[in-house]
Amino acid sequence: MRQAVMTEPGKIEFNEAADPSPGKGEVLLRIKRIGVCGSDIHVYHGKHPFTPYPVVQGHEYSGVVESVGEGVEGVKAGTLATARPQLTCGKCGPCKRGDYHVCEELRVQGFQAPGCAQDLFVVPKERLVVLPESLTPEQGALVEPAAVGAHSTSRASDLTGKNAVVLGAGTIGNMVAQFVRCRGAKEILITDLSDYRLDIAKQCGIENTSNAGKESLADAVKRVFGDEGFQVAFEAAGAEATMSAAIAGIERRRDSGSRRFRRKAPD
Amino acid sequence: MAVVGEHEISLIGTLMYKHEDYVEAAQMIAEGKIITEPLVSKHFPLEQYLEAYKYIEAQGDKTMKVMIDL
Repeated sequence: MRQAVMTEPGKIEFNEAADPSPGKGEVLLRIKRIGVCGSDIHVYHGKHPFTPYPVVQGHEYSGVVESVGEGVEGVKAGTLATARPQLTCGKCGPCKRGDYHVCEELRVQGFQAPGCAQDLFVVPKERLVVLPESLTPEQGALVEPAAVGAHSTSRASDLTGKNAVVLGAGTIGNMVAQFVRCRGAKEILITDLSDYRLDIAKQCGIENTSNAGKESLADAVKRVFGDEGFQVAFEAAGAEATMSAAIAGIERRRDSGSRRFRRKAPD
Repeated sequence: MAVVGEHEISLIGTLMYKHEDYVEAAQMIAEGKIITEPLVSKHFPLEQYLEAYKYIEAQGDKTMKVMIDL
């Protein structure tokens, strides 16, 4: 099978590797789509602090089930699927209480462990997510960033009826804003420095946008929410300035505040 | 941080996701509640992985999700 290896920042070599086969409890995927994300770009530039080279990239993907190993039931060949890229220790405090996503020994495939930039990829069934039949391979590869939106918005208290600000309209900010909508927010304002990204947010049904290079957050909040202000904010731009503006502007004493995305960690 | 204290604001961190978030994300996309089509800017075949990065670099903020096709 073909395999793409980033041997050093800015350099990718293509190898012919042996086809892997699924072991007990594992599933073999034929990879169809891989999304390139902001963290991958940090690796490309040699600016990802936790990624050694050489590395096989790819952590947001979809693939078709090629075959299954011993003991795997209910997963049919030909089915479109994806899988979480998180390798966890199972022994630390967070793992023991079920919070494996903040495992003290967390390794993410495509960064600290080999990713899926190859034709065939083995994943254990417990990390596999079989996709609904209507999903396209593209949509399957977007489940990963969408899951970031699902998780971050579930960290907030009840969003029903609240006005929300989402700072940053890249893929993560966009997904967060759409999940804020799913969770019953009243009005949503999304901000970015890029009109291009704000236009894509509009195409995804997030109507209220503001270019932070042209309008202050305070002015945008006034324009969109009037006197109601906003009760929750999600920080998805990775910038101190937006974080400070959100803290200064958010309604006092609410149960849920701003969210901080760790831009240097895999997202 | 003084404002965080004086306004009694809660700051909450968040990292990646749990399994149920993946399942919910897939379901919401299937139900059309999460719209994905406008997000995909361009496709490159596996052999052009490096060109994908160069494209992203050249486009600056005028690109969103770039897909590698196998």
